[in-house]
Amino acid sequence: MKKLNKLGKLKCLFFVALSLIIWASCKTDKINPISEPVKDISGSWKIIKATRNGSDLTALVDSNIYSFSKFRINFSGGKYTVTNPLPFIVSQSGTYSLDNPQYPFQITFSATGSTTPASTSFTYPVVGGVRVLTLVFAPGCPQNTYSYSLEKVN
Amino acid sequence: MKSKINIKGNTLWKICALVILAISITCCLVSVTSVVQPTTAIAKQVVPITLNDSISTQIDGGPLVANYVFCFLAPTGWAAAQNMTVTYTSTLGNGSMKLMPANALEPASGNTLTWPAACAAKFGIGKNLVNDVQWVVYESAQPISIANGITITGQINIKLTVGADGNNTSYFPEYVTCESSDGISDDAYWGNGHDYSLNSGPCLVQTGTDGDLHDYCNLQLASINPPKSLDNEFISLTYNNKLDTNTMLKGNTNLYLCVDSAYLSDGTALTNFCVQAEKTQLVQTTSNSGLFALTFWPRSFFNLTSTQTLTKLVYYVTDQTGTKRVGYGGSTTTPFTYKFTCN
Repeated sequence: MKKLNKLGKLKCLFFVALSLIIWASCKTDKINPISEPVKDISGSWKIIKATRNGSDLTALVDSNIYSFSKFRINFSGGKYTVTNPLPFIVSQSGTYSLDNPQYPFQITFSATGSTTPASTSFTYPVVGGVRVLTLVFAPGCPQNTYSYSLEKVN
Repeated sequence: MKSKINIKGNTLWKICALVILAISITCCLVSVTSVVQPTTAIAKQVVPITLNDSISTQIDGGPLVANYVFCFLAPTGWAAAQNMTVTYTSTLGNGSMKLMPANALEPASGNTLTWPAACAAKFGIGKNLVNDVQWVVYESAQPISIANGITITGQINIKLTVGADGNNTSYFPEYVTCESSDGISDDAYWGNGHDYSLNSGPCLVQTGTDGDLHDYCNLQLASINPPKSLDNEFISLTYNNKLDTNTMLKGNTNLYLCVDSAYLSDGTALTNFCVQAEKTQLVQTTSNSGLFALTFWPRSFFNLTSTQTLTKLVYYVTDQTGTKRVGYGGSTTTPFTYKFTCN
């Protein structure tokens, strides 16, 4: 009888220990919410593709005078500067802002000396592991739309 | 013997639903039997166009309630949506048509495109050589109950005021008719496989203004793309050497843009831009194509200040020496012209 009691106590102890292990294993992990990072476009960007009304212009504009490969736009501290300009949303350097720092859909350029800011759609996908900034705009007639895809200069 | 086909109930229901859907959405075989359209028109006049059509129906599950839809390709400068009225007569009744709401989506595109965008994606610019045309879409003001197994005959009547932009334009009209339920679908399981009818009209030549000539029906000796632009854009000049009938530059592969004059908004003429240099050289698009092109940015080309605006370009195409030149219609004395305007 004593033997049985001892066995029973051991069994009881075993089940208590097992329950504790199971209870411990079921503990809910705390998951920290992942916040969307702020889209940082700081740096110098170059044009890798340009289209006019859907037709590729990239190879057609490449001379000593002006070319897509020479165009640069540099974003820094809320300001932008353009070098080797081309038909673009704005023709002067100035300030810029995104409509939403985490989920931007629009970028607004305010050229120095201009009272009318220019806004355009903004996409920021990763293409081939590289961030590509695509801007769509009409520098002249509204029916002629241009799309510039830019890549950061290393 | 056990069947090897093992379809779960859930999957079976999906397949049945798809089959039923495929049958029930197929409606109408639309055919336009004739297009009555003039080939000439005078600006600001109303041009009548009539489409005689016939619609045969096969609809499972009872009558289909849908709208007649009419899509029309017109020059952008005509602003057809503001200058056109459309009515119809048919054996199911008569009525007027109204512009398709701008946010209405075309069903055959999977409801991803608006009607004009879906027409542009499917039918492009028709037989026109220049992309300065646009689709405008109309639907019957009232939906129509279409029964199974009937043939509807009727007419679509268009009254179009042409030449709103003050230019002289020639182009190929395109006409598409369908109903709103199936849209411009190619999934019809009977007839020609289409749920729509596509018809091309003959070249419509509109004259009667002192504006520019925009000929989208015929190849041009020289043309600039986009056909309408301002000076702060890239413009592409194309010269078709195979159309040089007076043989002045025929066979010559060293061709240059010679700007006779460029006019500013204050009337000032910029000259001394007729040079044979890298920035004016036209490059053959592909070997032996005979097409020579130059893409340039006018504001930079003419070194304009921020306050100057170009209104017109007057130019020739020359050989490397600049002594042989070709202008409008192959003339050596009448230059080509291009106006910087959006209309």
